[in-house]
Amino acid sequence: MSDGTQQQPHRASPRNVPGLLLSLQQDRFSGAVSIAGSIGGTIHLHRGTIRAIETPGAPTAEALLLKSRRIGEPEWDAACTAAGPDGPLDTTLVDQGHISAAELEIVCVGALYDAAFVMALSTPDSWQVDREAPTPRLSHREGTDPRRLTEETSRRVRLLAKSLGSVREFGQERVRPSARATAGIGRLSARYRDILLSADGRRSPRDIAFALGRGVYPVLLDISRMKALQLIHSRSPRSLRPPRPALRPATPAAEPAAPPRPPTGGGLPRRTPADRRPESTG
Amino acid sequence: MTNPPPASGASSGDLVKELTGLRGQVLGISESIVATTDGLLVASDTANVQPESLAALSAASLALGKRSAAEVGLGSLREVVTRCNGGYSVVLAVGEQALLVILGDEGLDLTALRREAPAVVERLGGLLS
Repeated sequence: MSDGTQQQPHRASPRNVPGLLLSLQQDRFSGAVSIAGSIGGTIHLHRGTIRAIETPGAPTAEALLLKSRRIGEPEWDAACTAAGPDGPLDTTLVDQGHISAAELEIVCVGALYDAAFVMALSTPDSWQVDREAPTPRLSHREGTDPRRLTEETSRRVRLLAKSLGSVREFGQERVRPSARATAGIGRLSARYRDILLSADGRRSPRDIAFALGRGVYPVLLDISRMKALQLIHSRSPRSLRPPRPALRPATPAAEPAAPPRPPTGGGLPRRTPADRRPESTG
Repeated sequence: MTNPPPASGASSGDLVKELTGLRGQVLGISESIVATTDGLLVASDTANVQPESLAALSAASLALGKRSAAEVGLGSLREVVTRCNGGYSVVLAVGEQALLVILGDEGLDLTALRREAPAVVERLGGLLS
């Protein structure tokens, strides 16, 4: 067993992240691998199996639980307090009756596979192995075999590529409902409806997943089906344009006291004595 | 850092372009605004928040952060980060007279934001000068 605190070089330099994970599995490595790239992240391993992946590209188990309201924020805070800084948060959540052990396990495994899928959509610039990295508070306790994770990730990418083409590019596109979807939204399933209501033309599938507290892969799967049904449009992030006049009132109905002035020729807007309302005399 | 004296020729479209560009560069950014340090909105890339309210509150939080930094002697303020259960608000000074506010979800890539923000702040400062 190679668990220890000293960093050791590996047999041969792996060519990619799956290769690295297999190498670490052979070493029964415990610690973390930090991946740098356009979608970076941290892969947490225990004795060679993968317990959790944290990446800005996919919601963590915590985000899934809170945003989907499976667990309320006060209950979450209370469980964190009861578990203490290094205590078993998963056991505490279950013991306090906020979630069943099976459901928590499903959420943790789902978040793990989802994060692996998202990270596979970008090419890593570099990676760093760290034996001392702290482990996340929620993780897949048994750990996942790296080979199985890689196979499932490849299967997901292949499946989506059939309908979307480049999954990597589509994952970055901004989506919005089509006129057809807007007209018939009442007849759609709740899952599709939620996605359509979140798809405001500014959000990517990843952003929608975070907004809904769902995985990125299931959201992309739904979007690919909705795209086939012509319920959703997408546009490249390269075509990002200001969605509306920049210096608009917040809501059309609102009557702003003093609309912001563009900094064109007149300098930055400034507060003047005239902006201040006289004090009420009762 | 560039101090933005009163703006002379910046287009609000250029400012918004910087904001939308940053949203495209950093994972997790949902909305952003540029405001003056006395809380008036200059430009926004928003969808759900009230940008005028955000401008006023963020100006206050930046001022409070600067005063706090001075009081405790920890050096000059780099940013004011408010972490909530549902995401982040990050306030950055743009020179002495303006500020940039970024709202992000729970997955906001703070590392990428800290990498990209200095150049954006400098360009915003240039546009406002």
